[in-house]
Amino acid sequence: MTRFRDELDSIARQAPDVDLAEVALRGARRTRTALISGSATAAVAALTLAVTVLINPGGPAGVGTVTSGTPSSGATFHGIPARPTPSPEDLVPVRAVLPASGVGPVRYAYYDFCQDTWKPGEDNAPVADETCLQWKVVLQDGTRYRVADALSVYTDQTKKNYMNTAAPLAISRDGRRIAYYAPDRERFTVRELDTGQVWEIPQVVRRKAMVKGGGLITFSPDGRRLGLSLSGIPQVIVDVESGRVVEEAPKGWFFLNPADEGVPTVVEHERARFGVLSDGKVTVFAEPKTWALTGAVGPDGATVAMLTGPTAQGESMTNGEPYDKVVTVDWASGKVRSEVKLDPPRRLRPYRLGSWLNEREVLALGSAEPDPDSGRSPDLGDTAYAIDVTTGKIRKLGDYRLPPWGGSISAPGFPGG
Amino acid sequence: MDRYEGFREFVSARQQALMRTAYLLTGDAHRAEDLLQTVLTRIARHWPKLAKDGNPEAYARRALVNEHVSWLRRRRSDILTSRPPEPAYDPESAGLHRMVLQQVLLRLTPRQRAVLVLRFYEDLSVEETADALGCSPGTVKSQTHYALGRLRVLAPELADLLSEVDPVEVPR
Repeated sequence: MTRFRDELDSIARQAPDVDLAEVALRGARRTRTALISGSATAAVAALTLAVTVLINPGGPAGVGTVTSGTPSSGATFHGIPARPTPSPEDLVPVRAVLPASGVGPVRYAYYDFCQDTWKPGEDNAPVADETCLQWKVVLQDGTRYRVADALSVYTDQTKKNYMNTAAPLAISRDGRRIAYYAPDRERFTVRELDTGQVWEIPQVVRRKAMVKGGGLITFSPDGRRLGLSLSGIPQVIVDVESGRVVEEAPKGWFFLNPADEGVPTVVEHERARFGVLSDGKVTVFAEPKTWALTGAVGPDGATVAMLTGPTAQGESMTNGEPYDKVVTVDWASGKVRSEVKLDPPRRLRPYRLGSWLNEREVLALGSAEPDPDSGRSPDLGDTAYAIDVTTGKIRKLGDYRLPPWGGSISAPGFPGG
Repeated sequence: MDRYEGFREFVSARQQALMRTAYLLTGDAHRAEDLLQTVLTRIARHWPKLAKDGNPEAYARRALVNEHVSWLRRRRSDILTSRPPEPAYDPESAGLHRMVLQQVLLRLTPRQRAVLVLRFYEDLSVEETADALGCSPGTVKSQTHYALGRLRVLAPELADLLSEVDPVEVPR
């Protein structure tokens, strides 16, 4: 037995259970019946065809009259791509509640709305039910559960405050822990899915503050710490099991990727400065003049990866002007260690950089990559990439698909959406 | 006498193992189910003969591989542009290997993938794999070598994992 065999076995175990005996038998019986009656059927078909041709020698009306590319009345406008066809599993309402324990790792999570019954900027409490306005987790085998005690979409929105949509749910890198806002306790809760262990993060976060300002929560790579980047309370990193605050960012600084114990956390200032936070102190390592994105400190403990683009700070950056370089910086000295062009830059629309996949590659999360040749709009959702900081090459790792009326995705290891 | 006697029992006992092989070959749950259904339907048609003097499971495994390669030949463009399966995003070391392996397996040729599945998942010998694929043992060896080499190029992080089944020669 080798690890390679084990990995193949793990992949194979993702195959769903099937029960194909009766289907196969029906197929076999149909074929057998068709074979037995084949000659008789062929004779009848030939006779029918002959009669049809005699009655209607021009062929059925309409067939063969439409040629590809030929204008006709009521012509299709090709500028609008076809809507994506929802996968069948996306159309089944998720009613099952996440069991208290014995659950395998989560692949990703999403929340969704209630189709046309949802009204932005209004009190939507009346339309919420068990199948919508809830966080749903998708396990590795595709099983979906709703997290009934997690707050997702704020039903108590107003017309002035309708952009801050939902309370976050974060997933640890290994998919074994989730963190979410428990509205009845006005605190964040961490659940270990297999053992059923639950920890409550001591910081009280008022629901009113969540609805007003929102925020993000993220696990450290080992899942032992949870970073709270919320408006209205200090930006802190909390040890999940003890509830102790292990880092607090100085005023004006925030973080997206809390680090494991012993590793400094990359922080960003509201005024476009980047630094690392350790023992309450920030060491600034970059003050870029253009838009930039940072992730976490690398496995060597010294390097931080950044994505940079051509657009100056303060100017509007749109999706049409993506980041085009990946830069590594020594956080202690602030010196640039490497700088390469992203290859190909247009395929990546990142909005998050995460932790390091290995010594050369950094994880990134971006919007789903559209396929220009497909003639259809892309599936909604996010895509995980690996960016090689030495070559700029980008590898797509996989998609996290949103169902129709989906709201936001939460991917393991990244800030909860 | 029911000409399908024993078929249900065979399917009930072996369909999950066969489904897993089909999933490894196709990388897609729906396609795997279609593939297995096609093969089981064919087995049901030949059941009296297979049950009497054949080995239904070996036949099923061979048919899965051949049917899959045949599908890919017929519907190559469709297969290659379809959405890749959503890999388990589990960036802990073991989970990462799995995620990366799942992705790069789909970038092998169907026969290379089949060789790896039969040799290292089904644990078939070179000769048994050759028999299942209808080729010579030499072809199985070369296809295995090429497939593992391609995995190494596509995913350098799998080097450790692959070295257990195919140690890379180090110049002395």
